[in-house]
Amino acid sequence: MQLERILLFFAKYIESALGIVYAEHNYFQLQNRLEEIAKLLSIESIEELFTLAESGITGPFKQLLLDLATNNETSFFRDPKVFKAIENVVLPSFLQNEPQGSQFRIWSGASSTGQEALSLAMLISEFNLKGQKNIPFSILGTDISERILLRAKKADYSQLEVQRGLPTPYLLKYFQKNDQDRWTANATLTSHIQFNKQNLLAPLAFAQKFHLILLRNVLIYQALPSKIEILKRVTEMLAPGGFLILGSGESLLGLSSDYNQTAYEGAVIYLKKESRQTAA
Amino acid sequence: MFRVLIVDDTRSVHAFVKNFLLKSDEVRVSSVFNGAEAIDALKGKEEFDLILLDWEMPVLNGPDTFQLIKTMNIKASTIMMTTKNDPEDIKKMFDLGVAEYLMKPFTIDILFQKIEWVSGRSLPYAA
Repeated sequence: MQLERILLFFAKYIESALGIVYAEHNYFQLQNRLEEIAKLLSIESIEELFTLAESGITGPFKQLLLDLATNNETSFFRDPKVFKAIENVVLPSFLQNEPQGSQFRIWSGASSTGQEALSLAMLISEFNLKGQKNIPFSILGTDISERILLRAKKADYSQLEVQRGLPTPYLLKYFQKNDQDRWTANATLTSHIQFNKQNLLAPLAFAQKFHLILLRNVLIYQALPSKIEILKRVTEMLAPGGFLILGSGESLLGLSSDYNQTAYEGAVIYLKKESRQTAA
Repeated sequence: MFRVLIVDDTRSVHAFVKNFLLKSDEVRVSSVFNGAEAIDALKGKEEFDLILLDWEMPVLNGPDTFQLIKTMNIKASTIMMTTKNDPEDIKKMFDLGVAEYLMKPFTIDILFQKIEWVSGRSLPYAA
């Protein structure tokens, strides 16, 4: 009974801070994560962690809780169909609709440890090479977790991480092996990427709109009102005619009418309607 | 049928890989333990779609085996498996013509993904 009360307390806290909903059948997962936090803070038990929380969740405790509540599972070129769609639909559309020399701006909205942003940088670099084009591009990666952002900024990966999704010729071309048997992305990629902390439920203050926003496996963890709120903010940051990509198990159905859905070889992508068609 | 030849002197690698590959009825696996045995197997009646080739082996090592395979008019793609992770070594193998490179230790999802890249075969994966 006591444990249930504690888990409910933390579930409510995570929901209010991040909009992430823990269904009751996932409480065991929450319990594991709280145990992990207790260990990291050298606290004996979840009960003691709860006592600490009652006097306020602040500082490292708050950050750990937010870090561990978010799902940071990722790989290079995760869901390859999406990258094919970007290569064959999004980039040609950008070239067709924007003046020559325009910068292609991408926002990776749950960038985790940076593999998505780096994959996009590799994709565009290869697109430029193959088509003898020179599209300038910038990628903004954001995440709520500071621990994860630190890793993303280092762009340094274990041998297992670089093998997950990354063809070896790309590893040789775009990464350097360091003395710790880890692989670091080259500046040819990282110079295009910036990582910042961003809570998607907080106001978005980006200077320019994006031509492509990836928001994969974010909405799936949100309650309905948060889904709608996040989508509204994200849509405002997308240039007219820009594209939004969600996770393969996610959809805009019933959430937004600001987009036309299109598909490329199994990947669903959303094209933002021109402003006169956009719902108020 | 998708036919795989595993060439590795470490028995645990055979057990690990077979355990997952053989979850599919459409996969047949043959095991040999050095390069010379691999060449014998490839000269035999059975044709293979994929060769998983270890680098460091007794009798005939992976790179020398691969050089011989290249002279044999064999359709199978080769994935080199090794603990070697020096970019120059890896590059050398690609220059010779291996289809992919698998650094040990690896997890089974990584192996299956690389198999799909080189052969176009998406194997059912069940951990």
